[in-house]
Amino acid sequence: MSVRIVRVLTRVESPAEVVFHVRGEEVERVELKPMHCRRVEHALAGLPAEAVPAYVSRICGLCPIAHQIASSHAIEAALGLERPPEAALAVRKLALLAEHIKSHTLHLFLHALPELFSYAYNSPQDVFTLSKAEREYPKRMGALIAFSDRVLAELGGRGVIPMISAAGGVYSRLTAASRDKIEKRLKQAKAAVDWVRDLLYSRRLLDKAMVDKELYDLPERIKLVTSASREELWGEVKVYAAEQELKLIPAVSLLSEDYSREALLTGPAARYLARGGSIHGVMNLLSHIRIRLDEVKACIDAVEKALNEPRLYHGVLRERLKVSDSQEAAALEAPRGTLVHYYRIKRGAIAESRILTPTMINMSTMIMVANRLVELASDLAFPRDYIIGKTMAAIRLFDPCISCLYHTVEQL
Amino acid sequence: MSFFRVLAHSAREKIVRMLAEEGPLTYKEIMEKTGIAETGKLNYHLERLSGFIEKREGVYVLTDSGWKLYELIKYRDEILAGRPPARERRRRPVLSRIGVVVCMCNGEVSKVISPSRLEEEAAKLEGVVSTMVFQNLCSPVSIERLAGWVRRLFINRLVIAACSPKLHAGVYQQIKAKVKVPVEVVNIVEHCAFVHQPGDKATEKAVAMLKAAVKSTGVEAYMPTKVVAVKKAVAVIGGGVSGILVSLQLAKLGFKVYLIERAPTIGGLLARWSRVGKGDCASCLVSELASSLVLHENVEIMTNTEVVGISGEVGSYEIRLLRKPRYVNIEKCTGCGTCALVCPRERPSEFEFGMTSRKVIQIPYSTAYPYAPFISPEDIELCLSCRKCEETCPANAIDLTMKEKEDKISVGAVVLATGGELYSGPLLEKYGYTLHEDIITSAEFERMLSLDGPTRGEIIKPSSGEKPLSIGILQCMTSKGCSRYCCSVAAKYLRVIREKLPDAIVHIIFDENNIPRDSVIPTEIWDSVIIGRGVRIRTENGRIIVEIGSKRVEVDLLILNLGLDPPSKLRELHYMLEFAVDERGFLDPRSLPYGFFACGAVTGPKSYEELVYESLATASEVALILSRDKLEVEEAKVVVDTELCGGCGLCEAVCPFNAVSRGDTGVYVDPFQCKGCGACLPACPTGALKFHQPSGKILQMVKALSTYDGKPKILAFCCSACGYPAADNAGLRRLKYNPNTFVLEVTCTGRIDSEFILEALKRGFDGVMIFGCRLGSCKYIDGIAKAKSRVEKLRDLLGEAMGGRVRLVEISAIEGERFAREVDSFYRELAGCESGVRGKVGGNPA
Amino acid sequence: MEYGERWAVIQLSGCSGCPSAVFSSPVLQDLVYSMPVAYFPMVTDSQRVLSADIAVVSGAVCKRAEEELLKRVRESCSKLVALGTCAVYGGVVSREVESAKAVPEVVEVDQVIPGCPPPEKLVGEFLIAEVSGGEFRLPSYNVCKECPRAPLRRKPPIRVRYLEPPEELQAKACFLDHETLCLGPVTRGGCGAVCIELGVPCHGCLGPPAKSYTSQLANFLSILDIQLEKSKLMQFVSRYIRVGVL
Repeated sequence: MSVRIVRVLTRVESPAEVVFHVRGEEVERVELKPMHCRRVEHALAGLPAEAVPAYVSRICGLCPIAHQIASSHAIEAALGLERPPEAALAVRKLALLAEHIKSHTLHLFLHALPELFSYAYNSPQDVFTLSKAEREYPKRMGALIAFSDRVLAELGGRGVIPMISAAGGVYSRLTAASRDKIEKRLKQAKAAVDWVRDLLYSRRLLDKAMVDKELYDLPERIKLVTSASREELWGEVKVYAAEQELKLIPAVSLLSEDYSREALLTGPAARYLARGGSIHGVMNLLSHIRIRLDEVKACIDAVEKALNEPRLYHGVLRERLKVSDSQEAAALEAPRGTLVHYYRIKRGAIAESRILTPTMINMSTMIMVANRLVELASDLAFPRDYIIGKTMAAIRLFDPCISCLYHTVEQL
Repeated sequence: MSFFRVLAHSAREKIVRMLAEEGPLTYKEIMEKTGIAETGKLNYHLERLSGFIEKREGVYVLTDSGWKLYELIKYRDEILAGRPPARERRRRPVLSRIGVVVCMCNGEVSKVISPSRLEEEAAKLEGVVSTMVFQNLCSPVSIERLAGWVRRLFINRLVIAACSPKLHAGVYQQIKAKVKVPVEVVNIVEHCAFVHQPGDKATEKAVAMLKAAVKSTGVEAYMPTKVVAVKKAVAVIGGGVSGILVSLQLAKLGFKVYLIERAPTIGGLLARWSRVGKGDCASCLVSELASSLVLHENVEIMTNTEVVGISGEVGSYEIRLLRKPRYVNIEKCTGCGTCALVCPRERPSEFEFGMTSRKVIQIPYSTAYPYAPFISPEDIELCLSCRKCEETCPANAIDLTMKEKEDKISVGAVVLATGGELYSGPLLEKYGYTLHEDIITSAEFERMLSLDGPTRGEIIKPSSGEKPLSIGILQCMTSKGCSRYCCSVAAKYLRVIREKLPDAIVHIIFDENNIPRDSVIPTEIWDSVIIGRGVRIRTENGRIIVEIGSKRVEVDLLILNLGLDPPSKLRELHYMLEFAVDERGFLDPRSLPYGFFACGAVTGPKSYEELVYESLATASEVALILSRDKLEVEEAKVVVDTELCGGCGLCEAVCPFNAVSRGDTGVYVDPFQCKGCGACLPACPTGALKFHQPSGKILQMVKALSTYDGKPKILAFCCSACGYPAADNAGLRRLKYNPNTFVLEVTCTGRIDSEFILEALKRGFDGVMIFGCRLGSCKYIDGIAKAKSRVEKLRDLLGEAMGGRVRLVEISAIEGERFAREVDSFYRELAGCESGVRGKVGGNPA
Repeated sequence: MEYGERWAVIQLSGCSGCPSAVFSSPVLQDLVYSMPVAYFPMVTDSQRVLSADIAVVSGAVCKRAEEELLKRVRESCSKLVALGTCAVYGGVVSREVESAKAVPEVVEVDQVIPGCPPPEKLVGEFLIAEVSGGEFRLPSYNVCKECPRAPLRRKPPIRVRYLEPPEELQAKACFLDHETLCLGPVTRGGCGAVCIELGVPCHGCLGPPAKSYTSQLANFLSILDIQLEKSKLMQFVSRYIRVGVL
């Protein structure tokens, strides 16, 4: 007889329920279920277009800027602003880079590294136990958060849900004083990245976890989706598959039926390919930890370079938009992957909206991997509790954002 | 005995603690609670505590030193516990000992409400230590008994369920003075026993009202008292006859008087009359009064002076003045009149109502005081290019370079005697004033009758100079109701005309369409009276035809008898001073703040005798204040709590008296400009304004009243000036209405916060009413407009949920009948039933 | 060094902005890692709250399971803090889900820290007060105290025509003096008026400093002459807090 074991998925952005269908000692099936309720698109209906970026910032506390900018882009495209002011583009880029740093940092220190350490110490670990065991741990995390929060606060008033991007431009430019404040923290941030790298390699944390490598393999037939290019965090949407050639698709088509049935993966792994990496380097989830760390470094370097861009310091910040009836979609790279915002605007207010978040794109792959893992692990006769633990670990390695995934839960 | 020696023994510390925390205790109780069985030991400790405790009426209590000792103990405890003690002084006493008094009003109350039930319910309430019922609280014997009871039981807060504090203010003042504790009054007479049928509901209502008062006495209200040294001086604003009479009386009583007059001479309107009262010559009268006034050393007459600002409080007002230039030095002037002779320019004479002309530099009339010429400021430009008078003046008294000066005076009280204005409205044109030269106003006729007037007292037709054979006097030239003196003026004219033109025919004409409702026509003129519906004035071949209804009369001279209007400048004063006006627009002296008085035409038209009595009575009221050396004044003002204030300025925006200002040091409320209306409290979003009726107290009362079991039930917010007195009026007239309506007094309807209405509806009141002064009569200018606006917005926000559950009524203090009617009609609406006759409804809610 | 009190951090329906505000606060570096945590699913693996000294709850209550969790938390924790506007008033979640309830509507709350997000400074002050045994009180003044713009000059009725400032406001006059609606006067201070510094009028995310939100709005709107479509006005004022609930 099948029994349900329900566990709270912990060490992710916000909790969700993982339901294990179990028969005796055997785990047959895994499901993911939301624990909360939200209906973002419902509240967006009827909202004036100007109010949207501030509203969608409250979808998720870890990636508010991605939503802010994606919605700004979509609305601007719909309301006839071909290209936002240069200063706005520069500010947005800087902010998005900072958000990537912050989000990845929190993921690494709060979610992923404890996973690796639990292999090393052979017992479950979290940021609190690690802060006691490794004196440097909280300081290094603090240095990276302080750096990224400084950028966000200088551009948007505060580190959490900053007010940076609006439909038509941005609210503030960078000043020389702000730049100094940011640069002061640069060195510590870079040092923190080196320290983590050291953890992974010199202390061989990744190697210790490799004992379960097979469990964390990705299915071969997945396709990787990204809107990143070598240099930018937004651009044309590309689909990569192992045997097929690279395809360019319009952002809005990700919202269609065709792609909802595909097994897709978006995120740092897909961006890795866009930067010239090989698909074989990403087919195991454990490697994604390393890729994220590399992204943190790359983003810090990009911030350092961007601080020299004159566009940040001068120029028009914001253009007024026309009131009209239109629709458009825009895509960009949130920390966890490609994010698409689509709006249909009527008389200046939102008539219809659809938001496709990275975790939604990854969802079917996540479930596929989880179910594959339980099958494999059962074949290998692992104990049930071990399987349950590793399944949750596998889901964690996707860095899922539960708030973004379930930003509209139809059943209450 | 030092504090620390006293505390050296734990038993003594315990005794002090017990007396503070449990209240007065008997010897026996102390013995039991401390566990000291031997009287010798106990007596020793009690003796050592002398100075800190005392025995009164058989129980032990703490003295002031004892309370200090208690505070010391608490302070020490905090420090030893490691918690830094709070810096604020603990409020004393620690316990609330409430006494509840019910007055039966000589059986009026017990006819309707059960006194035993009231007592019973009151005794159950938290904090009530004792209750007492009086047959009539207002007798001196009862008040003595009450005071004794309060003292014996150490009651520190009193709740009195009796009659209206507005109608019986004197009694409550006495009580407060005797008991010396805060007193809360519950009106179970005019607002309950007088207006409801006997029975359970009336009693339940009284119980709920009592509960609300008891529960809300705890809320800390901001009503500091101040002791003010009284300045023995008075400012009388207005130098007409009334002002002069008041000044004279007060000068005789020994006070310093500043008589302030805007015009260059005193005497007002009456100085331009021919005869006054029963026949005295007006200018003689004014002269006589002026001479008496001038004889007093302590009177300072300031002509050509205007009031520009008032500040301070009763006993110590500061009045800012603007002294306008006269261009003539009164001290040097001998009154020779040479300047007027050489002056090359003429103007129409205002004094003679334009019937003759005068020079630019003028002494307006022969008996003017000060008897010195002056030039109007608008003429000075021309004079500067002429300067003939200046050159010619033998006394060198003319100075055309005089400038206006600012001045200030300090007084203990102020009398407003600013007078009224003669009617000058559209009726004049309607009745032909502009049609014919021989149609004149009564004012012009007065000048004609005056011996020093343009015709030297002869009655003539202005067109030809001939004597008129027939004279018509058209009455009731007024739009504000009966002016009370015009008919006696008509009688006076009748007598004078008979004297001077014995053969002339006189018609006294009334247009029925115009006669004010409240007029009285004296009998002595009946024979000459013609009344008709509709009066039309025509001219035919230069003759004046008067058609009265169907009658037709020809006259040689027609006099339009002018009534009195309120002064047009009264509105300006409203921004310096709060007062209410009556329905006719005249100043209501009862609405003036303490220390301000009004008399004369400014309070309404009256006969000469009435004017004299009123002025003398006012003088004695002023003397009541000025004869004291010190006054204790309760400040019903608003004060800002700087910790809560965010500096948003919304209070400044809504204050009708511009009493709030914002500066570097924060938001400040001027204590004089603030009239204590409370309109700023709802505007303040952080609750940073301290007031004698705090919002917290009102909310507590709403909560307590909502426990009344009845449906539908109504909460009626009533303003102090009109709403509450209207409810009192309904009570005095024994009008009946439903018992499910509760009156809650507010200073002004502008003080009503949306929160109060929301809270009332949330707590279960089916309807909320707001009774306030009409917009034109509001003492605080526009309270009801503010209330309306807030209710509207609340309705916008709540939509369906509020529906028709809030009703505003503009009312005046004497409309008791309307109060009862409105309350019952709203009740019926809420109950959903159509029928119901006032008088029968009430007692049994649907 | 460990401080005695044990913490539980609970996320109901919301975004993760409030818990992440905890990590953004500079105070945290020294404190948080020394405080024993009984339950914090974002960060530790405990599956349920057994008991704790302080429970910090963010998010609004939408599902039955959340309500039960909240009640359990109230029973097993000595002190309950509602963090963020969703928890304190319902917030944006109450715009999305009709039946959403604020935490104080379900259980008794010992302390609220509103804000969307709650200002880092206030969160820091609260944490320090908890750990050192001091007293924490929310500011009782309104945003106007911290506002960098000039004080309001106009007298009622103050005309309001815009929700967004009409042009780049070089002159730093009060938004209301520029006919633009700003809820600063009826909103609690403590946020440093950050939005206003950036040129955005206050949307009231910290909630009212006193009285109920509906009364504050009725009082405030009565001195304004609002020339906006009613639906637009209602959308603006009910962004974070429900209006018109009797």
